Amino acid sequence: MPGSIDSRYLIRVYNWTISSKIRVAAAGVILSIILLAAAIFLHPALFAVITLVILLLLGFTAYRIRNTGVALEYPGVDRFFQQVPCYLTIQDKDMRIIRTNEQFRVDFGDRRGELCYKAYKGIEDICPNCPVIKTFDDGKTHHTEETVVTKDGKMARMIVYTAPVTDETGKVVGVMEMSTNITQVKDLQDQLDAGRREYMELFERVPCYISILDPEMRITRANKLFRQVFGNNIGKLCHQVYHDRDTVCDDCHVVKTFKDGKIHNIEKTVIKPDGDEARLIVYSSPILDEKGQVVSVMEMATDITEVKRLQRELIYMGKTIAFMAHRIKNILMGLEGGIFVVNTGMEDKDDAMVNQGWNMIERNVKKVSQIVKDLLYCSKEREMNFQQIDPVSIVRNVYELYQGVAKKAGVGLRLSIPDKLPVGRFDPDALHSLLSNLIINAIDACVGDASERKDSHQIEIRAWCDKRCGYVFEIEDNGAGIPGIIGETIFDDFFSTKGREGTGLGLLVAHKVIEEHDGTITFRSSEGEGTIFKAVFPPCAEE
Amino acid sequence: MPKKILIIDDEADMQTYLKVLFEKAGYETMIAANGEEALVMLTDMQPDLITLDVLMPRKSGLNFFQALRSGDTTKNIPVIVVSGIAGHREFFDSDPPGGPIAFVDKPIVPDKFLGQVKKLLGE
Repeated sequence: MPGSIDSRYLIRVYNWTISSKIRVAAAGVILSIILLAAAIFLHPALFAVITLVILLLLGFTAYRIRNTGVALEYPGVDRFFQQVPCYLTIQDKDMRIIRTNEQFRVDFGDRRGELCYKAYKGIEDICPNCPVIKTFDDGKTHHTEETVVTKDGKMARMIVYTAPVTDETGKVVGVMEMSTNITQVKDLQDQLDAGRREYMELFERVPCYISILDPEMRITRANKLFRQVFGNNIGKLCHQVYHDRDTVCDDCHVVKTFKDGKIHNIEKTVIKPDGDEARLIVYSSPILDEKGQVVSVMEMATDITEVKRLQRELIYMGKTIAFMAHRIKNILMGLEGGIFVVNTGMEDKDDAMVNQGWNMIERNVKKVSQIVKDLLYCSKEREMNFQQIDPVSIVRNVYELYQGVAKKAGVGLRLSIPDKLPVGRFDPDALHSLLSNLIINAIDACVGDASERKDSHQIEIRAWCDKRCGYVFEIEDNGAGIPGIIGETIFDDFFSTKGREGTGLGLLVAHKVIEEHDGTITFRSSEGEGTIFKAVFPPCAEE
Repeated sequence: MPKKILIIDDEADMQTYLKVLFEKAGYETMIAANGEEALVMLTDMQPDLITLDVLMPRKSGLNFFQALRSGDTTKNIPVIVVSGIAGHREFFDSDPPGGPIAFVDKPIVPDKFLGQVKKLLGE
């Protein structure tokens, strides 16, 4: 087989033949003498056979030597072969390396005559997808990426190109392999890929909503949290997703960023797919192309619903403290005044004055007690004590309690309730407190009413129950009414006309009680005309 | 003849306290439950001093004060504003025209309070 001749032998023979013409001539002479001797001493037939075999072997060897020579002397090889700053080798059909350049020998040693996969990788089998074989097969250039081991045992990543070495007839007699060490490039690429993956991971996992918008306000990308909460809305308009509407929001910060390329922020309320509202703080940041033009805008939103709630609570707490301080100062004044009046009465031996002072003290102690009670209702300290009761008795009790107070204030108090209502689930003390506070507010609203066109001030307490609405309690007065601007926050804030009896916490207490009963409280008011508060409790369960 | 002090406060206990305090100190007192009531009273009488609460129904202390200072016969009446609201003096002009004005925080200290009353009355 042609391939059975070791190319190391061929290279050696080739180098030997081209290195000294005298040696070649001498070899020819020796061979001729041997043949002459054989012709003299051997049988002519045997001589003919031996001569034929020798000529065949010589012919075949000469053919292989010629191929090796063509490959080795490939036009132009010598000119650049050694200087090229990459690994250059030439392989013969047996995959043996027959020529190497300087760079290759520095990093891999002189591996001429060795199988290329052994020399490059130290393996025993031809590499899968070998470009050298492909080039031998089709005579074309091929390339691949390979990981090899240098002579000092280091791994190196290579990009390998192969080109055919042909003889004058165009036959592929060898393959030149050019390998470039791309270890550093690959390492950088790996780092780049790792960085890209890290950024993608960051983009995906950052605990806020991130979306990328194009100039048409379409969402082109969104992170995981955004997709989880608002759905996979890629391609949709952001105002559709956030606000379920077809027009761009007024004063849109994304539009501003597209216009001026700057970062803008805004606080806005959006509707989540589950129907809940969320308060978001949203930043829009430009994404620029290589010319510095804004091509898209990144919108980053953080849900601050809970923060806002806490902020409201803090404001509320601040107001509570300020309000309480004011209230307590007044009570202290009342107590100190009471003591002063008692002492003055005792000095003057005036029993009426002593009584007057004592009443002042009693009233203010009661106020302290009421404030503490109201504060307990507003806070979470008090557990509800639900019982199955007919609320009529509570309503009647509150009515009787405040009849005298109302009369003293010049206000008529009427009761319009049935004799009985179905038994329902109530906390009796809480219901009592709610109704008391609403009646106290109603009395204060009547006392503070400056209108001169009303003949008298009246309060009416109504209660009824139906299976659909549940229990309804209404307190209607024709007092001063509630100004519109106060009405907006009436249940979230202190509402006080600085009435004589109220603590200012009344509506907060009412709101708290109704919440605990899963009910609702609303009001209708007209400034100068009066107010109706309506507390609705859930209907009683069907028997 | 005792000097007259008009007490304007919607809190009954405060009215009683100041009334007893002033009368014990030898002053004559009159009481109004709010600014509106006080303005009506001022058409018939001329007090030597007014003690004024800030938060009141119908007509607040500030509204009353502005009306007081715009009246020819009332603009020079000395006023002591008595309130439990923190920083209540911020609601008023720092140097309003007309008679003198002083601010007292609740709860009052009786002797100190009477000292300020005497000072405003020029005693």
